[in-house]
Formats: sequence, C-alpha cells, structure tokens
Amino acid sequence: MEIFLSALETLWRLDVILALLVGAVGGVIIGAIPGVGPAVAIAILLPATFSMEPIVGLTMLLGIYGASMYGGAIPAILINTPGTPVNALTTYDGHAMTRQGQAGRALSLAYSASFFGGIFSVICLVILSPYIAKVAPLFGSRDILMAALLGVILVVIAHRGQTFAAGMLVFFGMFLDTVGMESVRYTKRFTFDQSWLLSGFDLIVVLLGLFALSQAFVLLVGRDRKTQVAPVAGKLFSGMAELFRYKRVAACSSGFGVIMGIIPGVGEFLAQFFSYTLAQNLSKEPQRFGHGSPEGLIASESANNAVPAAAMIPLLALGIPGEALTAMMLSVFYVHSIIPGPALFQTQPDFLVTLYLCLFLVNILVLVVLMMTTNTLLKVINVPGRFLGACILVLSFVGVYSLRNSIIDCAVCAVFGLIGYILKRLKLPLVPIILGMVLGGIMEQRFRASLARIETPLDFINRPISGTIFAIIIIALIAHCVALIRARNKRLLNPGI
Amino acid sequence: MAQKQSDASGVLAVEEQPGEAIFALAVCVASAALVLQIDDQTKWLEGSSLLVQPRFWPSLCLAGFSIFALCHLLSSVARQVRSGKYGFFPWAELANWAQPMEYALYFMGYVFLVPQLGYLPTTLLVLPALTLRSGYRKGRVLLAAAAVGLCTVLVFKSFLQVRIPGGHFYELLPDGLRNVLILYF
Repeated sequence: MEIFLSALETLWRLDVILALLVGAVGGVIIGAIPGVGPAVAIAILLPATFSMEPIVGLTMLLGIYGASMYGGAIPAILINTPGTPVNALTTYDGHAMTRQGQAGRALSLAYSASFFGGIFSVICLVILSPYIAKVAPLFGSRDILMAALLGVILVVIAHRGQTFAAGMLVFFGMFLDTVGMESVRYTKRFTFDQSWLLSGFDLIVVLLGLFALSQAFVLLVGRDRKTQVAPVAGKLFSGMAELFRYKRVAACSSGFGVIMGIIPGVGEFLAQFFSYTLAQNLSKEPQRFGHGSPEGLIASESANNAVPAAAMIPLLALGIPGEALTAMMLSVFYVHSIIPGPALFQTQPDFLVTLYLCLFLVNILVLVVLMMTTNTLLKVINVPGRFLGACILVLSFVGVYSLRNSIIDCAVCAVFGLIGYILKRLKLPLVPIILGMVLGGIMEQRFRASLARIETPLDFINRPISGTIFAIIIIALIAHCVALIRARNKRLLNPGI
Repeated sequence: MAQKQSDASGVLAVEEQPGEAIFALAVCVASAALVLQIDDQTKWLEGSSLLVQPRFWPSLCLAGFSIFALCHLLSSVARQVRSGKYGFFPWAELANWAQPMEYALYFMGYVFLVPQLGYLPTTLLVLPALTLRSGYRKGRVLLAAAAVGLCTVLVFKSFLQVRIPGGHFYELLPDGLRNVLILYF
C-alpha cells in the first residue's frame, strides 16, 4: 500500500503528467501519419529523454509506443494505409467496413478493441509482477544467456520467408556490437586504427540512422499520396457495447498479444497474425474475414495493443528487450544507472508500480483523446510525404548531434540511413540489426560471466531454467524446420501457389 | 455469390524485389572481407583458452554473418533464376539506391553549418531549402517549413535544453543577445 501511495504521489507531479499527455497525444498523431511510426519518433526523442528522470522519459516513450498503435488504425481504416506497420491487418476488415459506409463503426470498434488489449496487458503485467519478482532473481548468467539466445533465434525464425536475411542481419548487428575496445582484456576489435571506432558503434546513432534518417530518405525520394478523407460520422462511443458481443475474440487476441509480447524477438506483427488466424478459425462467419468482419478488426487491434505492456516484462525482469522499441528504451535505463533485471523488483518496486500506473493511464487518456478529436486528427493524414521527410531529417539531427556533438556520429548515422534505405527498398527487416546489437552485447557479457562455472559445454544448460530455455530453443527450431518442409511439400504439390 | 475467404497470410507474404541478388552478393563480399581481417583486427592471447579469447566473440558473429549471407545469396539467386522477373543488374533500382545520397549530403551540410551559424539560423535555412528542393513552391508550405524549424528549435533547445552548442556566428552579436542565443537558440 505504501508503495502504491508513493507511486500515486509521483504520478501527481507536473512533469509526469506532461509526459503522459505528450506521449498520449503525440503518439496518436505520430501513429495517424503514415510513414512516421513510433520507432522514428522514439529514436529521435531518445537523447532528449536522457536529461529527464527515468520515469518521465519512459512514460513519454511508452505513451508514444502504445498510443501510436491506436492512431495507426485511423489511416488503416479510412485510406487503406496502415499508420504503423503493425496495423497492416486492420486494413483487411477496417477499410472494407469504410467502403461499406461504416467508417465510424470501424473506428469505434478499433479504439475499443485497442483499449481492451492495452488494459488487458497492463492487468496481466500487474498480476504477473509478484511471480516475476519471485522468478527473476533465480535467473543467473547462464539463464540470461539462454534467454537472449532464444530471442536471437526467435527473431530469425519469426521472419517467415526471410529467415536467411534475418539471420544475416542479426549477426551483422551482433558483429557491430563487438567493434571497439573490449572491456575485459582491453584489446581493440575491428577498429582499423581509427580512434573514433575505439568506443564502437553507439546504439542510438545506429537506431537513428536505420529508423529515422532512412525513413526521411524514403519519404524525400518518394511521391506524395493524394488522399481525400471524409469526416467520420456516427457515435464513436458505441464500439464498447459491440466489443462486449465479441468478448471472447477480444480476450483471446489480447492473450495472444501478451504472450507474444513476453516472448523476446516476436512482437506485434506475429501477435496480430496469429490472433487473426485464430479468430477466423473460431468464427461462425469466417467468410466475412477480409470483407468487413468486426471480429477480424477486433482480433488485429486488440492483439497489437496488448504487446507494448507485455514487452516490458522481459525487459524489466531480465533486462532483455523483446523488440526494437524496448531495445531503445533500454538505453534510458542505462543512462540513469538503473539496471533492468532480476534485482529491479527488489530495489525499486515503487518505480515499477508508477510505470504500471502510467501505462494504465496512457490507455485511458488515448481513448479520451481519440473519442474527442478523431475528425481533427484526419488533417494530419494528409501531411505531404516529402515535407514530412524534410522534417524528419532535421529532427534526426537533434537526436544524433545532441548525444556528444560529434560530426562523426552524424556521418555514421547518415551511412546507416543509406543502409536502412536500401534495406527498406528490398523489404528486408531492420529490427534484427538492433536486436542483434543489444542481445549480442548481453550474450557476450553473460557468456564471459558464465565461463568461471563452465567445464564442458553441457554446463551451459545444466541449470533448470537454462535447460528449459534450451529445450524451448530446440522445439522452436524443430517446429520451424517442420513448417518449412510442409510449405515446400505444399509448393511441390501445387506449383501454382 | 459466395464471398471468397481471405486469410492473414498476405501480410506475411514476401515478394521478390529487384536488386535482391546484387545486394546479397555485396553483403557476401563485405562479410568475406571482414573474415579476412580477423587476424589483423583482433588479438589472440597466448596461454588463454579459446572461449576467453578477445577474438572468439567477433569470430562467432562473423561466422554466423557470413554463413547466413551466403545462404541469402544462394536463395536470392535461385529465386531470381526461377522467376526470371528481374535481371541481375536492375539498373533503375540501383540508381534508386543512389538517390538519397543527395539528401545525405544535405544532412551533412546541416551538421557542418550548425556549429558555424548556430542551430536556429541553420534550421531556418535548411528546412525551407529542403522543402524547396522537394518540389514545393507555394509560400504557405515554405512558411510552414520555417514554422516547423522554429518549433523544433524551441522544443529541443529552448525547452528541453538538449546539448547543441551555440554557433560561431553568435560571437559577432552584442553581449546580451549573444548570451540568449547561445543558451536558448
């Protein structure tokens, strides 16, 4: 109770309230503009949050993360263009409903489903916390090493049809992390006698290049969209009542979102894919999916909004980010010398409770903002792409230059921007590079810490937790191979597919 | 007429892209070049076991990088040969990859100008210039660009106090104005 009251006191501070507002409103706007997305916004804002208190910075970033998914549903439903990549499946049924003259109903359902998913995952986070607090301290170096390895393997196999590319990029990220002076024997690694490489590649510089600057290039080189969005008519409050009719779909999809959020390396994209497929299989009207099914819309929106809070679980409990956005947030912790991991639950419980409350409030705030301002928000959908690109380019400068006023950092960022641009043209994923950099660093550190207790390779997995995680890795790999063989056989039997 | 049932597999479908194979080849060459540098660029400490060597972890990463890059190259070439959709050198696509170089130069120009002219003047110069370069000619858009530039400086430098030093140009200004500009703009 004392912890709860102390958390409430923190929440009542003006800077925290401001961070909540900026996160909620800013996130919705960023999500509603196709071509920006939370990764770009968080990468740009990250260095600015370093001067804030961790709870203020994290509240703002988490607000942007969660709220952008709500906002991303608006263009997905109205103009068939997902505001953020994770709203892709929302276009299937949401836009179909708009074509049938039910835009207001679709938006209302999407907001309600997103709210349900968001609140569901915060409740799961709160319920799971005492258990996490008990289990997390049991994780030793070998267990964290195995968990990070699981994240690496899952991020590779989660990219169906791009496994080799994802593997290549994750190892590239891991390699990038090794560049510079290593911290145990103080030897140089791949510095090519360049003094600026001694400190290695800064994660934020790489992030800004790959996510923000590359997106600026994509927009500047591309053409402007010409869309006409009609004002949304109808009651946006009616969705809650309709959602209640599909409570099973909403609960199952949110559950999927939570599970996928907890598993490192998986994220929103697969969460909504599995939820959508499950909802379709369980539906009495599967033929309506893709043609304006409310169940389809609920499944995709509740699943992807359940991920942000759940993704905080491996980050807070083990210090292992599950996807790119939580990887970015990890640097906020490090800058303030808060080490996320097993000890955090014992040393800073009030910080965690405040974070949970902030997550809860962000969802309520976003819903209120959306109910009141949807028709105003429609204006931002039409911001011209190239103009937006110019703005992102200028904003990227703040992010990278304010780190240490280094022109070399900016040049490195520009190079990664060009790499990111080519990867985006080739439709290759960027997330494996970032997760490779973060998880690679964690793995090397934990690997070295484990060595004192290692006599044979089997010692890495002779603890109950590391052994269980290793078994999960083997099962995941076997399941992936089986899926590949099945897909190949299917292709051979039906060459037309 | 019954509706055709659609499923979610469309979002996971991966289409062949032009330039895939040439990019995979370039990555393969880069990974091979890095592998060849392992001896020079990492240390092997005599008397220490393999697992504690400073060379061990980068070697592991580069091995994984090279193997996956090779597999990616082979699968890209196989896919390209099978489909015959794009040539090995899709020149138009390669030219497209070079297009953002111009904007990267703009970015670097911006980076070099900020310490000289100061953050506010440079932003007010660069953002409208970029907007003009992007093809917008209307005064309203250029004004909007200048307004966004001003807001960016106000939010990040004046309000959030991010670390961006004052420009050399500010030194030429009278004392009071100079201090305000260095601190807030």
